[in-house]
Amino acid sequence: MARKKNMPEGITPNASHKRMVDTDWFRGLVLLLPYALMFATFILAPVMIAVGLSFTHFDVVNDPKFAGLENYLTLFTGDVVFMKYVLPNTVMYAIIVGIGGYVLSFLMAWVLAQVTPRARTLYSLAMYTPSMTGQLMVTIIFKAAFSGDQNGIVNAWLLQLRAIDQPIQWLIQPEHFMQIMIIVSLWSSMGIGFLSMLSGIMNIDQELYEAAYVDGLRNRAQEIIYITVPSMKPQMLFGAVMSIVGAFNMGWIGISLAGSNPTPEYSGQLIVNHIDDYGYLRYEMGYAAAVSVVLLCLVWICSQVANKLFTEKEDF
Amino acid sequence: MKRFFKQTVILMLVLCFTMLQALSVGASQTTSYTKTLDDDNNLVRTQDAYLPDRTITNLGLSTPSDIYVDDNSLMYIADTDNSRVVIYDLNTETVVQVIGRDICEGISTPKGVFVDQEGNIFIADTGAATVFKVSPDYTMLAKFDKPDTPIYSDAKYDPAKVAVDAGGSIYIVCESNNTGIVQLAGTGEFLGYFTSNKTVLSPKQVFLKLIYTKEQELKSAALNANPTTFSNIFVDDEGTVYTTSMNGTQSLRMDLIKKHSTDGSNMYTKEGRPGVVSTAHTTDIFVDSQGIIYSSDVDGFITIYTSSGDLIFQFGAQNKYGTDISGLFTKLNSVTVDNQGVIWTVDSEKGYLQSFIPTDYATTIYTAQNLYEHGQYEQSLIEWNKVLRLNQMSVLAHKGVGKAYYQDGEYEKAMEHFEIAGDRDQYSNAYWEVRRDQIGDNISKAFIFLLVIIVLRIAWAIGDRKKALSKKKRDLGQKLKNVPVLGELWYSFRTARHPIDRYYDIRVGKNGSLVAATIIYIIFFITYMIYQTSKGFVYQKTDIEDMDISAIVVGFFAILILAIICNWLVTSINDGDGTLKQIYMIPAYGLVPAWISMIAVIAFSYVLTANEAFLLTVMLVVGVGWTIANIFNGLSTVHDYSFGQTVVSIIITFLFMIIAAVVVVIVIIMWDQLSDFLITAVKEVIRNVTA
Repeated sequence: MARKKNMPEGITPNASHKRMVDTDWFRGLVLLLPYALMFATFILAPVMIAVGLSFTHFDVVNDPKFAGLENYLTLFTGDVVFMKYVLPNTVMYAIIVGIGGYVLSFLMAWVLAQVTPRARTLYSLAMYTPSMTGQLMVTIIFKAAFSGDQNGIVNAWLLQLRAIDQPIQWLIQPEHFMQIMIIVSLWSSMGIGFLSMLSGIMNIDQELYEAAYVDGLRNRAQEIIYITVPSMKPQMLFGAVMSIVGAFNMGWIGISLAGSNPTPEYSGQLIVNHIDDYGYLRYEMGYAAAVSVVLLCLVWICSQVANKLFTEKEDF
Repeated sequence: MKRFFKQTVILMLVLCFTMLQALSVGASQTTSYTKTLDDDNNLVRTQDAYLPDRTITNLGLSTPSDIYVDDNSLMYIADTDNSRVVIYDLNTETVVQVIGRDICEGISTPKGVFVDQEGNIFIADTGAATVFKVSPDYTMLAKFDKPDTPIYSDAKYDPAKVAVDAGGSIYIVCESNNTGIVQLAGTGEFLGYFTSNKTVLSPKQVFLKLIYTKEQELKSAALNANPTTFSNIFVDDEGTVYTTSMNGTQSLRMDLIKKHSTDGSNMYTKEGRPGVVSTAHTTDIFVDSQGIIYSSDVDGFITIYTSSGDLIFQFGAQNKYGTDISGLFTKLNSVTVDNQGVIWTVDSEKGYLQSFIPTDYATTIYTAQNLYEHGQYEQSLIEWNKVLRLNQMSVLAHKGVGKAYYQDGEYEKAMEHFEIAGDRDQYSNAYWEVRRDQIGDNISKAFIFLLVIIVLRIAWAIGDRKKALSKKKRDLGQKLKNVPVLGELWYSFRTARHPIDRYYDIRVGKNGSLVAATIIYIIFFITYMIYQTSKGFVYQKTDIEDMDISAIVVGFFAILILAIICNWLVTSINDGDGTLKQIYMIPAYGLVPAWISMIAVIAFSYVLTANEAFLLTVMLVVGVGWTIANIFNGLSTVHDYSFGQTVVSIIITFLFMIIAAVVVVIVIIMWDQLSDFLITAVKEVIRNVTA
């Protein structure tokens, strides 16, 4: 549809008689060139190289050797850690942190939109801080809170309540590790998506609400469903994509909480950690590339789903 | 398959009984049944594992509390009320030595005895409040009195049981010190409490703790909860500490028998495992060199476990009869096993010793278990099969066979046996391996399939440049939507996506029909039944045989109809706009997400292992949550309620449902009485007329 608008029928027949520089497609090409070049060098080429590498054995020092589908076969059939821990962990983490963080961001943004401007600035700054400071904050606050001795905040509190009789090794025992990771991630999930949703809500025309109330809107819930969400679909989509990508890439949380790459008994191992493990600890770049291609596919599928959800047409 | 097994076993039992009756002289010498756990963790009868053998009554024992047999078949008996320890040779049947006041000065009520690897005898004496250490040539070496370190403070010290590990650490169970097990170094220095039983606070107590001040807390009687007390302790050759505790009123209890790691925690409850099933009043524990665990219960039960805490079998009983019967106990206080595998027990009230010799059934199980633990899987498989030949229903044997096959890499056979044994975790592990092989075999096919789909999609896009095909597709869809019932069924899918708008259509009568709603209910119910009864083995936690199908059917429809009628009654007096017909349609049109999630769960439960359980949970939570939101929206739209009004109307509906259910129950009970009355009245009349 867009193409038809830019090229009215009247011009095309004459195009062949003009000089090449005057043609529309040439101009278009020139205008596109800077972006296309940048995109190709910094995004397209690395992705293509990664896909290419995923079909080889490559240890950084020697030349890559072609291996066909072997890396993928090993990944799905031979890599017990991947199938038993990494994949279930990643899916669970992405579902809870992705969807949970997204809903939380929206709710927080909506709540913040209701308070007075000065307080709003302060609050939103406070909420955005965790995702800015990231790793540092996690180590300082949560390592202290979930410290394994009796002086750890959570342990001290539980001991005081006599819910436990000896301190729990929060960051060493595999059974608690994932929960802590999820809590920390949700806490720091008010990232860029949150800011965009806040701005989206702020930009909605107040008259829309008034008009809707005249038309029989009754409460805040209906306000959100009928006015707020439909008016900020682009921001919602952006937030969704950001939270999906974030959820799949937040591997560092587990590492910085545990302090070592394989997290305790792989309890908090995500795909990103697995890639790190194979890429930078074992130097099996071909295999790591195969894992990252799988990650790419996962992220792509999820963003397709988000796209479908937020750009749907009414089916009346 | 299982039923076939059961039938064979019953048939064999019947045959055995008839045979036994014919051969009256060959009656079994056992006096109690041997029981084992079936696949639902219920105790069931099995073959006799032990036969009562020798009864030794001539030792003049008075309330013996503890016995111990060393490798030279010397038995040490803590003869409590006679203030002595008797050492008795089981082979020569003579008393070798008596440790009394002449050796241990001040010995008064010895309640526990233990022999370490060097042959030193440790005697725990409650009355003298000390532990005596006696050398193998019967001279007193040391006395361990109450530790005088300030840490021990004024805690009580009355040793009742004692055990010593290879490093010389002494573990003491004190009768009235419920802080935990006292651990002393070989020199007598107090090292601390090795382990302690947890006080489990009830929800009420937790609440009281939250609101009480410190003084109130100390005074409160409701908060005065003592932990379960330890009843005995044992240290095996490798230095692993085992303890038993005593408490509880239920007949079967978890977590009274514990195997401790070096930090004192219970190994049987690691990684979320439930702990060991035991009787409520376990008094003693013994672990033999193969790791088999023997425990005794004061009510006369002897329970035997594998080293990993699985119950092998249980036998013995309480003697409730006047006469003495060998193999039954009035008060069973201690159990120990000699190096022949013979179990020795002591009845502390009657003061006699009783031995039990294992049958072939028991020894075969032990051999198989031992072979498995030493990694000789093929030999253990042979032994387990022998056990299966004796008892085809043996859960333990099926587990053993399954594990052996699993270790050998024969995962499909392992799955079969784990299924019979009802071991879902192991089954899931075996299936994981099978599935991995399947993925390996089919991954290339999947790649090709994916490629074909991509090619087809591209072909569709090229062939459909002018959107002619898409339009045809859309037109066909439109036509189908206009077919009466089909269109209304399709409508339920759209309701899931736009609940408020679609329920508005139902409210104004634009769409939805009773027929379609009924069809949806029926389809949903069928799916629900499949969901309840036929998930994959890993996720089907109760077998169909154990399920009360009619309760599910009646419950489903009764609750549904009750909810619809109650909601109609409640809303019609509360300004609700919905008619009964509309209320009938609301849940139906909202059910689609729950229905889809259930189908997905059923399908996935066949291909997922226990590892991926969260996926099913997520599916179900999303589906059911979505449906609940839909129905809520539907109620609020159709009745034209605000959010608050809808919540209130739902709460009132629930209360009304409860009242209605109670009324129905009362009517049914009364109906019984009424019919009884009518029948007696009629009988009375008939009798009077005929008389």
